[in-house]
Amino acid sequence: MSPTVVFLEDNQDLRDLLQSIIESSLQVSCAAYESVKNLIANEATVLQSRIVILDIELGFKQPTGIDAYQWLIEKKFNGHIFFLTGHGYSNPLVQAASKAGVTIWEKPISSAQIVSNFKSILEYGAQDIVGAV
Amino acid sequence: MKFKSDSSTAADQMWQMSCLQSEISFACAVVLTLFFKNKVSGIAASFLMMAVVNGTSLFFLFHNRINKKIEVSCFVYIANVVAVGFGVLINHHFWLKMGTPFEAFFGFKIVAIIIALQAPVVTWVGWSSLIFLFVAPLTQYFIWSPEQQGLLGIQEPGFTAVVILSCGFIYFQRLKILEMVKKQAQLKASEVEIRRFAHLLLGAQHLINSPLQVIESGIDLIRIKHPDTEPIVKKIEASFEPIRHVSRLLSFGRQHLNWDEVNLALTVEDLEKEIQKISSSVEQARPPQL
Repeated sequence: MSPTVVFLEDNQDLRDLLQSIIESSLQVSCAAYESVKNLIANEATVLQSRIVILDIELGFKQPTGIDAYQWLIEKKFNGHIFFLTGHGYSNPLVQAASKAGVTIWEKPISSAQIVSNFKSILEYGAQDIVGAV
Repeated sequence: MKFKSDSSTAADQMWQMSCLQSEISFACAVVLTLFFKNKVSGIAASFLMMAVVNGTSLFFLFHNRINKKIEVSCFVYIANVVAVGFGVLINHHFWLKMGTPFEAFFGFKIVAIIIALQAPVVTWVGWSSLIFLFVAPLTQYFIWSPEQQGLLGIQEPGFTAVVILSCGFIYFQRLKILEMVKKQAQLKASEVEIRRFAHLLLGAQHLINSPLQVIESGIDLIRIKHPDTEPIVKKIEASFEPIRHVSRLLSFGRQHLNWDEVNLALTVEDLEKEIQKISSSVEQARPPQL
């Protein structure tokens, strides 16, 4: 069975924590990847998920969350995409994604906010997500 | 005599200016001394006096070539102006004595124009030189008898006074332009530094945002898994709030970022190197003690 939520995050502690929070709060399955390479390697799983959360900076000279976002668009991913970023909010590509309906969260964000947004999507398939922070 | 300097401090500029002025004045004085040597001995003597002062100036400047003390360069500059002025005053005295028609105060006008255009970087040197050039010919003119005054053209000493006042105005404008250019350069430099500093803070934010998110999510997970810890978790959250706020403030400069060039610190070591670079450039930017 494919996971409902997919994380792309290079910090392993954060991956583990977010995964635990989402799984215990929403009773859904999660998958987490540390790099764009791993994400693409699991194409079938990722494209069937309903929510993808992308970190932007994924290490020195590594493909970024923006590359992952572009890949998802190319693959016509029809779930919800979120950026979870520390400083990339003003990046023109992130801004363009925001205009295209992608939600941008700035770290640190409370898990309650993440959970509440995911709950709306999973329960009602809400298109209007409040929360570009 | 050529003394080159790559540095562009006020002391260097003043020293180079005094050198140039001394070299030109010395060469002119020597040529004029030789020219008048067998014609009018008094006039030759006045130019010889100029040559001696200018030569002595060069000697002082040569000995000051290492330290380039600005006081020496300023003193030499004014001494040269005064020497040229007195040289002109003395040769005017001889021209009048001979009863020969001559172009009055020509040297004063030339020197005033050079000062206005050359604009010494130390302003009191420029202004005191121009004041001397304004006062000296007028004083000499009014010391002369009416018969001697009559030997000069009808425009004198008014024409000389107007030329020197105009030179003062040009000098004033040049100083204003120099000040504006300096301010613009300072603004540009400070803008670059502020941008760099904002970049540094953003790098710091980049380094702490994931750990902060781990703490935030960790607190939330404790709350979910152990509801009895709620009072403690609330206290931790209250303390965490200002940290979260400070982290957001660190990103104040992000709207000025050029994302094509951005190269944020990815490790604490990178950030430390950046801080050291900024620290050393601040140290270098400190103005020299004159």
